[in-house]
Amino acid sequence: MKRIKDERLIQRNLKNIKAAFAVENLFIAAVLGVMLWRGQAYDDVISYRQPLFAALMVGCYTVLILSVNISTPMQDAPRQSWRFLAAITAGTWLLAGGLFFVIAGFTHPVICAFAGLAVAAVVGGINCYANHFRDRS
Amino acid sequence: MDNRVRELRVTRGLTQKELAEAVGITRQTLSLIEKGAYNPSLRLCIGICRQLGQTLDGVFWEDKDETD
Repeated sequence: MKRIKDERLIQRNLKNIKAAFAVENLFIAAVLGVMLWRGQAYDDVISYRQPLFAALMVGCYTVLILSVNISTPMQDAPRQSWRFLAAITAGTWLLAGGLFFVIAGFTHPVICAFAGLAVAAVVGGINCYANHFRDRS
Repeated sequence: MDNRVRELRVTRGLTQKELAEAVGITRQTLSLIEKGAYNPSLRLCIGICRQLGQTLDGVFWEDKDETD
């Protein structure tokens, strides 16, 4: 397969990949819909144990995270300091850990702390990624 | 976007294929550029100008008085 050097064809190739992604995900959603319509249990179809659903979710989460590099420059907000980001992450950890602790009936504090840490890591990671696209000036 | 790519290419005795290969694009893309149906990037514009021995003004500039 030859490497594409023509800029117009590179752009067209990107549009092709976008279209293929949309078709693939629409097909997966249609298959899941047919499974539900045929009477399969909702918890079996809309579940991460269902490989098709997991594949659909992976695609959706990827688009969601990547869309940060579009929405952040559009906001045109100034870059946030590392201290501010660390504070947000720590606050998220406390909030998420606390919520998990309440939901767990005020038991298993260590597990709740780790679960909160996982949520904080995701939120903090996305904030850092978005910060990368903000302007210094 | 109107341009003088075709006129200058013919003056230099180049075929579309020859100029396209020299610039690193396909013949179809060059044809679309000559017709004004595709707007090349600045890098591609400079590459075309270099092959035609012209400046950007000489190839791609639009005279507002003529277009009004």
